[in-house]
Amino acid sequence: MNSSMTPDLSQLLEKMPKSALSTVVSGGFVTPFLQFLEYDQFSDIYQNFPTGNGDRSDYAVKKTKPNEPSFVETVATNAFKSEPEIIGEVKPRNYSLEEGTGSYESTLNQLKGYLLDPNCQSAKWGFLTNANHIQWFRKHGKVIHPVTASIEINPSNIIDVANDIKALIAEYPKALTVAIYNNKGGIGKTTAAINLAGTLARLDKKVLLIDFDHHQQDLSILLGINNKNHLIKLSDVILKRHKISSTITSISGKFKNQNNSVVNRSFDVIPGDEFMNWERTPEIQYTVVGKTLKQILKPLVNNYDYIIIDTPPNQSLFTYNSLYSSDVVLIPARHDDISSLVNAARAIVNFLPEVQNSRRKNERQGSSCTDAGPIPLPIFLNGGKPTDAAKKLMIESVQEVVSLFNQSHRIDLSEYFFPNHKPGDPNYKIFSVPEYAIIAKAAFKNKPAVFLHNTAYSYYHQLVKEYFLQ
Amino acid sequence: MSIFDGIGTIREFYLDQLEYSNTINEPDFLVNAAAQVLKKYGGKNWVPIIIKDIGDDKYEVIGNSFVYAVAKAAKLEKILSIVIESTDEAEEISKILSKEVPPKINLSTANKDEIKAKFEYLKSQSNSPLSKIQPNSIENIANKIVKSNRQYWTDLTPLGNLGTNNLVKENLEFISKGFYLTPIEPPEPPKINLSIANRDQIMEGLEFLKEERKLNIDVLDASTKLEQAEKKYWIDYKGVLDLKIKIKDDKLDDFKSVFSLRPELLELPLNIDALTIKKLQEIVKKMGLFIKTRPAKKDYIEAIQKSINSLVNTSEDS
Repeated sequence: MNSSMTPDLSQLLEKMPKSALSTVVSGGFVTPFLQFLEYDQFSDIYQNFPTGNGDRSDYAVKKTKPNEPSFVETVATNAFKSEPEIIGEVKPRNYSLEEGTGSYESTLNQLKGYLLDPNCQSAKWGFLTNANHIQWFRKHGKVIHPVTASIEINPSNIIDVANDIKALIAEYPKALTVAIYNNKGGIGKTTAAINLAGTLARLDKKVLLIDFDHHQQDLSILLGINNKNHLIKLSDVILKRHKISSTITSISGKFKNQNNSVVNRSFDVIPGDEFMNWERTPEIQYTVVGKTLKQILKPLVNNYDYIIIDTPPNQSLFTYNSLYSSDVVLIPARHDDISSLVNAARAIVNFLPEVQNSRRKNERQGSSCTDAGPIPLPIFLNGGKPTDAAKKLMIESVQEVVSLFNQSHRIDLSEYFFPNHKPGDPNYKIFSVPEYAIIAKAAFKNKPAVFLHNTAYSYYHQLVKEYFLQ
Repeated sequence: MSIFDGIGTIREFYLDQLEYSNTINEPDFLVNAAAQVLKKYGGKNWVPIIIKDIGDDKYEVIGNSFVYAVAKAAKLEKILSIVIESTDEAEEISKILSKEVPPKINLSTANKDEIKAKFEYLKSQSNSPLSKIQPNSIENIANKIVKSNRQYWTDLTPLGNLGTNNLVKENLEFISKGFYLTPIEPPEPPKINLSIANRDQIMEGLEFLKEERKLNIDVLDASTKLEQAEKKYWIDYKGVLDLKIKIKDDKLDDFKSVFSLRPELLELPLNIDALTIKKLQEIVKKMGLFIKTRPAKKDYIEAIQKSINSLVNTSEDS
């Protein structure tokens, strides 16, 4: 697009009436905004897009490649094959999109719904706007997470916001970074982290697994990589500016694929490092702060599909680093360990908002697009027998915790425990990986159980499908 | 703020993570001598530099720039530093406390000596545009500021209009580096109908003009004169000037902002053209009208006609 045609967003917002309806917001602001991001009004931007589930999203956008039929044309012939990049939802100007409001929550749910609909599978981005706020989201597999806060826009900042969003889209890290966290120990965090990494690797995803519990290093011990003396240690990266890539080792396995030929699959690991503990290395306390891990991971974020961080229990500096570096947090808990359930709820109510605030304040200095920080994925339950009776018991104990927090904090956590539950529909399905002896025993072979046993793999494959893959 | 943000704690940073945009005022030999000592004693700068996060793993030196210069001259790899909160307030106080910049003075409330001292400081700065200002001129400036209604100033424009020194008027931006303002809302002026006002009301209005508009008037004398004046026919304010109560032309707008006129209509003969100049002069005076210097008869008639018309028009409007 010719730069002389770049729409003057500032003037458009200035002219936008305070009570503009969504059609006015669309024509008067959203389309020009997308043109500013260098999408062509006639070939790349489609309004009222059929998402494939009977619904229509306000916008679907995709850059048309030269010498190919335009995206707009393709939608008209076959929306399913159109593969949009961006899905957008537009609201009237006086409809609040301020985070925390009910109207914001319901618009967000609407957008999430569209993004998961059949015709939007290919979408990488989603946005919400009412010409007072704009918020940008990323879709990575099944995971939808905010990449900006809901930013207040006005004639004086809109050009900066548009340029900053353009830069974000162009440079956003490939990897989805997932922290596995629960304040309570002994609930199978490390086992979950290893097998999640192993499963994604078996599905041919590029995975980096990080042991950030430098006190216990269970993950490194289980994988037999705790004494790799030849490797550069994480503390060397932080204190001596060694390259982070030199800390990486890898775990591989051989698998038969569908046509019975053998394939190699592997994932990378950064082992725990006892020298990261400041009792051992006093300089650490002069160096490591909450954002250190995020900073040192920067050279790696485009090399992987997933970066999975195993965190220590408790709320230490290392835990904080793990959460701070993440896009999403997976919180395992055990139904028979009430404190693990309460801790899961507490992480969502207290700890994560603290990390989010810190991300908003300390990241993207000088950018108008405030960072959003990590969001929790629905809690998943580790252990327990896969019988109906056991499942019933599980649901009962979770319901108890949800109602406890409802009373004490006036917060409804049911969406995190029962993601599929809708009001009036008693679908209390909760995701669980059942107790399975070989999962634990695999530990002695220095491989993830999912590399050794197909039953274990099938359980974790379900988990991965439920949480990460479309 | 989280305890893990690392704000306010001493941490080590690599020299190449730090940026410093100003020049250091300390002489080179001092910096180099200190660098020698720092190297000799192990290279730990136990007095930290003060830095601000500017993103991308880079930090800007805000305070203790001398330490920064010394550490740089000593070629330290890592420098002990304190990261401050990323707010303008934290940056300003850090610069003040590490004596990078002197604190600003509150011009809305500072006393004369403080203002004088600040102006002398501004004058003494290298390349100061105020360097040619005389000491007695600074005294005069401080005096005028203290006597002004500076508590209402929202910027320094009124300082330029105090009529002190042209250098002040021309260099308000430079001066603003030394001062800040905490203005209060100015009070609403009282609304007084001078045509029928009693002495108390007149006094109230004059007090306001004296206190808030800084008019140099003798309230007792002026209120007596204004009360006794035959003012019920005044259509304009010429009579106020004639009373010699130190209200001059240039202060008349201030006076009008408090005192309005709702005159009675003076009874006039039908044909004023037939009146003598002397008679016309009397009428103009009674009506408090302004008239050009060396007026001819037609000027008197025109002034009277105009004012009556304006009076009739306004009463029709209301």
